[in-house]
Amino acid sequence: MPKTIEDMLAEAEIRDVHLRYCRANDRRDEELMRSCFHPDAVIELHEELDVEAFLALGRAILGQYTVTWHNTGNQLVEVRGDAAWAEHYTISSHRIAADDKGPERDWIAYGRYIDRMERRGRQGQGGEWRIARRKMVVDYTRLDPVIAGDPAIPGGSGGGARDRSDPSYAMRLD
Amino acid sequence: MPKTLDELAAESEIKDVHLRFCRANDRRDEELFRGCFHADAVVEMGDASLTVDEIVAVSKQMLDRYAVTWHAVSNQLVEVKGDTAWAEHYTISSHRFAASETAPLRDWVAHGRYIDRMERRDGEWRIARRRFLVDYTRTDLVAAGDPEMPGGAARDRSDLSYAMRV
Repeated sequence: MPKTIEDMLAEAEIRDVHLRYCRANDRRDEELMRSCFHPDAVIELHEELDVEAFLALGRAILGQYTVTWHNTGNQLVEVRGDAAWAEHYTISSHRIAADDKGPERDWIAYGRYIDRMERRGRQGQGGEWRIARRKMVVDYTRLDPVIAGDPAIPGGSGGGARDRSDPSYAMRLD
Repeated sequence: MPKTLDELAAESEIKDVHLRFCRANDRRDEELFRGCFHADAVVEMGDASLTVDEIVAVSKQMLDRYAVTWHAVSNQLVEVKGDTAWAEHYTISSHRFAASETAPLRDWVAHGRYIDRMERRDGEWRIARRRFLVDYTRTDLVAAGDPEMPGGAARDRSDLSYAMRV
């Protein structure tokens, strides 16, 4: 079936939802995270979680790392009316500070997010795509030590932050 | 708010600007690089705030230190508001250092984000203000062993991609 313009718009909105999810993790932005899900969404990792339980888990897990980076590649979306299936390939890097288990290292998970997306909303307002059900699967992981190497940034500092003090917030248009 | 077709087209143009920026770095194409920015654009890195001429000069100096660079873009989040837009582009920049007397062959890999204020002027989206943030970096040694690929790439306009342009 050839794509319609409507399908393309829906796909673009659905892809953005997952990119906002990545940003929400990396900036630890719970409001943004919540906005990716319908209130009754179910998230399956080891067990089924509701949105609030998932947020609590994220809060506990993300705090263990000094940086996270959710890098999304393939985004395959199939729209069927007001529902859609999506698969997002995402490489999640987690920097772990030196501790009693080892030196500073990056734990890198190659995972896929499989979603049932639903467009719900006000009559005549076009509705909003959000995640109704999400299953997270991890295909493989790596643990790579951080070696003393080249200076972090020649001639400058990194400048980012894992909260709303990140400069990306001040530059927003709204 | 559902996207409109006009917004989708604007987002596509804006994403392309950053992909051209990456190509401009990796092929050291100053003309292409300049074409990504409005003439009065400001580029902020660390504590520095640079004009287009200044970022061109800094980039040239930095790029010449490496044997290869590769700017790989992943998440591109764009929000269009009329003739302005906000964008965040996740980009992994790999920089291959040749072996020297003091250090072996290695890749310096920066995981960074480009945060942009885009403006459409005279119908064309370009960067009006860009802030470059680096979230983390790695240095990975290059191990010997795997076979060499045919190659054929160049870091200037002798690269095969130029001759194939339409």
